[in-house]
Amino acid sequence: MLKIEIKSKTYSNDIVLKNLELEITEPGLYGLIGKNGQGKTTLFKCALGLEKYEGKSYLGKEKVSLINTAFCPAEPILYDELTTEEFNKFYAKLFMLEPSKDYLFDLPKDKLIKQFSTGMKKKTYLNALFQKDFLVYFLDEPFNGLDIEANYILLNYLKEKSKTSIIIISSHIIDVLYKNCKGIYMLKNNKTTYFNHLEFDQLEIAFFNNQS
Amino acid sequence: MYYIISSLITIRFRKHISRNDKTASALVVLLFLAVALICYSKFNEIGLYFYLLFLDPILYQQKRNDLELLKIRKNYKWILFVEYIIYTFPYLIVLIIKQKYYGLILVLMVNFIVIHIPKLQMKNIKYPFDLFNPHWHITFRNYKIILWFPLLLVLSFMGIKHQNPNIQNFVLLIIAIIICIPSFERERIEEIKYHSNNSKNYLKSQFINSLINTSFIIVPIAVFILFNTFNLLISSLILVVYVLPLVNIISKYAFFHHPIKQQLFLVFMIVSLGIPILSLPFLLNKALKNLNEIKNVENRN
Repeated sequence: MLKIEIKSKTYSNDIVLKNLELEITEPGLYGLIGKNGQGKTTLFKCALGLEKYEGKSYLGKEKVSLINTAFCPAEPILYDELTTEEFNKFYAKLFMLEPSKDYLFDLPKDKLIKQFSTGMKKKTYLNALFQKDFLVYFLDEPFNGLDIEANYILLNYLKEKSKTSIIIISSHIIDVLYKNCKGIYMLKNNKTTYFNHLEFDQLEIAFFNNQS
Repeated sequence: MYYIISSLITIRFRKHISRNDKTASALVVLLFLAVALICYSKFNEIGLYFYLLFLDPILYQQKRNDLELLKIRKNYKWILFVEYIIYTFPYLIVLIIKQKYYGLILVLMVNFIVIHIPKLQMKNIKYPFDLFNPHWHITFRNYKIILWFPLLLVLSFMGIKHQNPNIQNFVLLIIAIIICIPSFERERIEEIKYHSNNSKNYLKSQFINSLINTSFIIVPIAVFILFNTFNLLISSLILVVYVLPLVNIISKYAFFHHPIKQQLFLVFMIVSLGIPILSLPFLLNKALKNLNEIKNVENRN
């Protein structure tokens, strides 16, 4: 069970998240939506311990961390002076695994990452990250920058993975979330509201409702 | 002529000098003239090293990005040739005054040849380094560190030829400093957190990585040097080549959030011939503490 409790998270004097609770008990694909600046990325980072906050985040009895949870930021930072093969090997060493033999996306092995487009860089990062099987995946706008084929491949991969892992995708592409997610968390006014797949028709009303 | 020189300086040093900054441009010209003047006055002492100044246009030719633009003009090669003559004009005058006509002709011929041969395609060199710390690959590619090694090999050979062990010592010291360069770079916090081992084992893995990668570099050079000049001091310096980067790794994590302190510590280590090594147990403790803090960002409660 994944349980995230954020009592308070502030940047300078601005409260970004307050009294937020998120609990997921079974594997599946879950969406996270919210306007820009509502704190979607901050939520992920707090849960992972990449940002200091008041609260706690647990996966079963263990703290949520990058050991049990994968994190793909909206704009992954890579090392420009490595090739994809070297980047994959580096991450394999971090995960204490042998480098994978098959990767989700085909990429040139010998070109330096600095020669890649935005989409190719994202594919590189996802290839490296998916070498390890995690219990939880936090994916911050994973479809941004990917071409149609890559989006299709990624979505199918995530649907397969969601049979055994909890996958939370933050995205602005609401149709993708409607079609594929078990439930969607809406982040608004520092808090989350959960809508299961039967309640998706209420989500838009709640999202555009200006009352807090 | 003023317009040509001013344009050339503006284009070549555009990352360092603002446009229309006449003072800065004048300083650049004065620098070239000053170097030429010094070389002229010390010409006999400098000897053949004077010709190293003519490497400047050759290196510039290899890394410039505007050749494709220049190729629009049919006579671009002559434009480049004249440009390089302008850059090296003060030094060419020195050669003329010193009546080194053969040297002058050689320099002009080399410039002519370099302009006509295709740009050296520095393909990605596949380094054999262990990738637990990717900064070995990154720094060697970024700073083209591998270009130093032929020079160090030549120096080493000169030391053997002139039976001057100080040159060997100098070469080994330079190699020790070069090998420390990757450990000045910082990995990302996420990367430390992804590693499932505890801080002690993480640091141990960094040490092993450093020893393996140092061996790739130092073993062939050490074999070459020791084969020709075996003495105790050189053998102990080879040990320093292994130990200095390990100390640098400890100070990196001890001063993880203060890179300047790490640099100062290394300088102090070298200058004081290793006395700060006495503080190593304390630094090791601090390094482990920092790694623990990074791996577990503390809850404010």
